[in-house]
Amino acid sequence: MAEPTSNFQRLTRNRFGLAGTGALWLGPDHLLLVSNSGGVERYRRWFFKDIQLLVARRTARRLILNLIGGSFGALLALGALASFASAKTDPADSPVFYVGIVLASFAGVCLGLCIANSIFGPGCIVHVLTPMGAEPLAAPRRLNVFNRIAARIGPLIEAAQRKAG
Amino acid sequence: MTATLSCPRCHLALDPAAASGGAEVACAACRAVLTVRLFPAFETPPEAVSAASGERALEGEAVCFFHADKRAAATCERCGRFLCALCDVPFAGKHLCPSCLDASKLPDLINRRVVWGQVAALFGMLPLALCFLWPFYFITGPCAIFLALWKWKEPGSLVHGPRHGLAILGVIGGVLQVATMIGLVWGLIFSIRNG
Repeated sequence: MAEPTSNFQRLTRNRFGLAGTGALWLGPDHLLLVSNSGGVERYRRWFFKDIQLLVARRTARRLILNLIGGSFGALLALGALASFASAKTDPADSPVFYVGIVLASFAGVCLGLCIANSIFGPGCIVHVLTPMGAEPLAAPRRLNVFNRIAARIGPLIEAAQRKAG
Repeated sequence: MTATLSCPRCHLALDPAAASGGAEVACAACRAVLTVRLFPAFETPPEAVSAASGERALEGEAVCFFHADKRAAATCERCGRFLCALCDVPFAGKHLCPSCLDASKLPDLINRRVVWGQVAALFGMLPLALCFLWPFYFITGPCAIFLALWKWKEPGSLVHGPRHGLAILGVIGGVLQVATMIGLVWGLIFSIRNG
């Protein structure tokens, strides 16, 4: 039987976890969660006609990641400042000066990651309710992505349920 | 009967009217901020189907293949059997009987699949990336080549399709591992012969 390979559209990027990766795909009449661990793919489907609601609970993910990244960045920046201060007599010949440059670069990377994390928006955990009960969706993990996906699949779900009803 | 909207964190029942329209609502108990998207099935969930479902057949009416006393409500789209409301399984836009659903190999029913191309790539490339695994090259290298070629025609990922690129990567990694081991053995023999 021909497989509906081309019928699936990616809704979220692969999300990496301890057990492998997970991504949400849009099928012709269902949502498909694909979990991949070590070459084995597992599929979980939610048919449009069964989906009663989608609920996203806001989490402190963005704040926590910013705190961790900001703390690392601040420590690295302090290290860089200390290196520059100790090497300011003759910067060009001092290896400490170059250590400071490396530390400042890593601090810049941390700052960039914090900015990117802020732009991505608040984190969330999404649940889908069907007659079988509420189940958590492994993806999406950001509220902006959830809103984008809900706007995309909402009309499809409503159309499928109008047709079934 | 409508379904109930409850907070996913503390399971406190919430008012669906406040959550309609995609507005954010805060749970009164745990203060979790929720964004809810309601669909028509929330207001009118499907009716429960039980053994008592389906109307009794009258004289001369078509009856269910599995229940001789029930009126046929649908026809199986695979085998053509008449089905009552209990035996009619609407699935992926089709009406199927339980036996056809059980016997079918519909892609919509697959819930697990091994992506052999990816396994071959793991066997081929992971030991190369983790150099300390070199004593296992004699096993992992041929395994990668064997898996990639043996499972070449196996169906791949449901969403990505057959991933021949990964299988080729596995073959390349496997060949590199075998070549490395042959080089090591040859070097060892050469050094022993020359003292």
